[in-house]
Amino acid sequence: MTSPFEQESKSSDITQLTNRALDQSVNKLPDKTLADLAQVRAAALEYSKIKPEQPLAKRLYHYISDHLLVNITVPVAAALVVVFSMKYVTPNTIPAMPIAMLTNEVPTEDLAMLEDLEFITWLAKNEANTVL
Amino acid sequence: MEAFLADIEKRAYHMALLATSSHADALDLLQDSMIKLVTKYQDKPSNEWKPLFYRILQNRIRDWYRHQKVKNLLFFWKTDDDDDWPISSAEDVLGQTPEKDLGKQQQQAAALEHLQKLSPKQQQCFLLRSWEGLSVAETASIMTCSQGSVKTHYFRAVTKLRSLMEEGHDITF
Repeated sequence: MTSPFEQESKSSDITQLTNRALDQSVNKLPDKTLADLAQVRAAALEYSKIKPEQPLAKRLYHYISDHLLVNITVPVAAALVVVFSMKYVTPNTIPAMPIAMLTNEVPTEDLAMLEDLEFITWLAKNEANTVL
Repeated sequence: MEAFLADIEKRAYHMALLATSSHADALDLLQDSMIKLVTKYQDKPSNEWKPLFYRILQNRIRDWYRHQKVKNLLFFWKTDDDDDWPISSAEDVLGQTPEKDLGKQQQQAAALEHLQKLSPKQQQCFLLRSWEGLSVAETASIMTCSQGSVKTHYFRAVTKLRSLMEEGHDITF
């Protein structure tokens, strides 16, 4: 039975042997293969000179972010802030009804007073028309 | 970038050749990997180019295997007659060396032969860890697997290489 040390030593031997074989093989590549490799390398390096065209979506995104972002987005955002921060009061705004008027039961005293008020208003209106 | 590619191309070509056993396919994989590195990662720091390049190459090799699997399924009646293996054969190596080094050269030739018999993952893991000298973490990142898997693949590769050498050539390590 081999000890772990011996096992490791054997593994080291086989790896060294294989690595030497690989190194020697690399050093003895045929001239044709070396020429092919040089050609492949030259072709790959040509690509570094060509600037690839970006896809349409990316170009559009860059255009929007570079040109339109500041010119449009900022004013729009400012306008939205102003709109939401202001509170409009229009003549047509209906004021909230008093809670008392929402109930069905109106106190009788108030009802009588309302009727009197209505009568006086009508009288005043007719008197004004008669005078005119 | 040119200097980096010139430095790495032979070893990378060897890796691709061991994986594909075809000179043409190996060149294609190498070219694709170089183009991708040059077009997408040229702006990265130069110390990142090596792991990036090997990662791209490993991905290309993996894609090649998948493609071959499908091709073999669809065209199972075809045989590949144009496999060329320009790596120095034992005769090439033996013909140039003095007799005293013959034994060692034979062993080296046999080692290369057995390296081809490993599974793709074991083979590439061995090349990255042992030949290129990359760390476990770097190899795991390149092969997109866990560090444990790298250790397992590497251990199995070395064990298999040793057993093949001991069986086939009556060599003991």
